[in-house]
Amino acid sequence: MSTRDVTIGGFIVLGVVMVTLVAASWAGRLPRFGEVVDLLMARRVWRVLVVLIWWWLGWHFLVRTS
Amino acid sequence: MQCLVVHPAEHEYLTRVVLLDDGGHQAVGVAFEAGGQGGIETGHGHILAEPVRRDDRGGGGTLADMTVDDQPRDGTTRRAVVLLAAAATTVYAALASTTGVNTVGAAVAVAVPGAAVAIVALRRQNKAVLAGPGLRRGATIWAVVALTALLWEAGAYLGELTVGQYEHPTLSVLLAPLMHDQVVRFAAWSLWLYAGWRLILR
Repeated sequence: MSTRDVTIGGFIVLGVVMVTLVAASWAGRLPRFGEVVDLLMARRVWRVLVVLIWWWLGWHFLVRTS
Repeated sequence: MQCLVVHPAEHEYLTRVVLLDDGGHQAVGVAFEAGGQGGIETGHGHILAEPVRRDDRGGGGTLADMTVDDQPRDGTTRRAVVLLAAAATTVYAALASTTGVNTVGAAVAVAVPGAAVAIVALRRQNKAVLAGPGLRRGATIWAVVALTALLWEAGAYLGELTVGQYEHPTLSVLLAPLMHDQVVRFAAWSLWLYAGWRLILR
């Protein structure tokens, strides 16, 4: 198994975990992602982090895609 | 004056009836009947509505002056704002999606809403949120997964710089072929802008 396979496999596993978490939140076993974001956005320190991550996602996937 | 008789038990499958819409009607009272016909229809009421005279509300009111009667108008304003924001987001996403990757135009297109969201979000005061054990546990799980994903992407990026892009592809590299499609790019821009809009609303 090459390092490429491991890297891609990691993304797939993380994707599956996220889908599982979303499904668990819909089933009521976990708080929804929006509730967690609400909790983070309540305090300025965490708010800065959330906005930074959101901005970075935009820059990373929409500006620099190669 | 108009009068509408409500029979909830008979109309339980009625999905939507505008009783008090934004067209200038207000509730003026609910008159309940004491008895029914043969004991079947008991306790239904008449919702009385009449057109609202615009000058009844007074001019130049503030939020503190708002009454229950103002709520339909407030809802209309909110819907208008949401529609306007959705339209602006769509237009912006359409324009931004025409910018090429690794271009100044794309960087500016990300920077403008980024600055706007940052200004609005950072100017907001802290607010008290009751976080029970369940929410804290969920937040911890989400944080661990999100942090792992970010670190995995960062590790791939470092590997891409030091070893090579083929051996250590980042998620953005893997998605790059898709992102060259105009429709996918528009969808990605729309999704990102929508997430920013939601951050402002929170």
